[in-house]
Amino acid sequence: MTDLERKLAEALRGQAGEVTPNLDAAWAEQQRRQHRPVRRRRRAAVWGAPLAAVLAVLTSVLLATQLNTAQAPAPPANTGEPLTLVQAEYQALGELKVVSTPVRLTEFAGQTHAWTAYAFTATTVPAPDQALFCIAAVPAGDPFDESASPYGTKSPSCAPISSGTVRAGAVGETGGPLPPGKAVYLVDPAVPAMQVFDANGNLGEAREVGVAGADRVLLAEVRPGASPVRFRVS
Amino acid sequence: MGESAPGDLGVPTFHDLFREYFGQMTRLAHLLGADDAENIAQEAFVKLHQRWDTLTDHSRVAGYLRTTVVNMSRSRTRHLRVVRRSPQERPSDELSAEVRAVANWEHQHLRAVLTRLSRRQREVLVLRYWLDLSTAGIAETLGISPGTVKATTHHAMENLRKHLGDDPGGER
Repeated sequence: MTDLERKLAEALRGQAGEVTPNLDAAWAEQQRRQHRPVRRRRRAAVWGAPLAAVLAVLTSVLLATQLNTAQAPAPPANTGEPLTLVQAEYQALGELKVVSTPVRLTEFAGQTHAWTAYAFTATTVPAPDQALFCIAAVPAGDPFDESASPYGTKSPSCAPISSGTVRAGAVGETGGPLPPGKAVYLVDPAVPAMQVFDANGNLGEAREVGVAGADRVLLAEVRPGASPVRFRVS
Repeated sequence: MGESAPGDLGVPTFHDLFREYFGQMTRLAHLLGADDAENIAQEAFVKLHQRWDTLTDHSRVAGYLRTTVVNMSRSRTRHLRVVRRSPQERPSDELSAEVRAVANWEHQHLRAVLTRLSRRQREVLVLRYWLDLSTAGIAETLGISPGTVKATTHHAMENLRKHLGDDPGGER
């Protein structure tokens, strides 16, 4: 052992000698500590605090994940009744015999002109007994008659009239006589207004814009590209 | 607990061990820089008491107590460093006026230099030169390899010499 090691050992012994615990008092204290109830609480806190923190983080993550992935509320699948209509098809204006006074629906911009969309009932020359609900667009400001310039390749478009509450209808589309975002319906005279829903549950309010014969003509704002599939009479 | 069953005369009771080791563990915590050495020794015995029924080799109780005291002293000194933000200012290492009068001048310097060593170097020196533990015993207590114990001891002694040499009136 070197001189330094010897001095170090002596210094440590001297320092250790400063501590002279009372063994009897210490034993009494030891017995008290062995039976203290707080130990269990401390041990629980040691495990419980990190666990609580982990649980809180996991809960936050789960909630955040759910909020991020949660979609819009499910559409009211059973709201109203199914709306099944025959799709309107092009009919040559020359073959149509307009029956009701055309109802002005809306005005929209085409490539070069502004156009006005009309709805009316008609029959065809080849089948005079077949009642049709037609939509046609003519240049804005021009009178609606057989000499009017047709809009695009789908004007007029007609669908057969049925006997249900909603007798016929047409949904607006690009290039058609009714612009996207609009839908028009011929409904029973007892229906002043109705709500329509697309497949995602989006609601459109259909309001009366005129009458065609005895029936009412309702116009609705709908989501472009999403055709209503159910309706509910207000 | 704490009493030997008839026929177990060779097995020390908890009370026996407490009386044998409590003072030593308190001094060990004090030498390692803990300011509440007696509390640390008490808690070490509480932990031992909790494991008492599962202990199969009572000859290793002293080693278990030493390791517990070293670990708890580390925690305590780490806490003190944070609280005081100055590891050199440890009241437990400050000499009382009475002790100053008794301790000789060299020992005061050695103790001051010990506080400047790293935590592990101080632990190794205390275990070797105060408890007189072997390299294997120190390694087991600190949970490090014997090679690390030897290297740490070597560096600790070098640092001790260096600090004492730097100090006016250091090692002579």
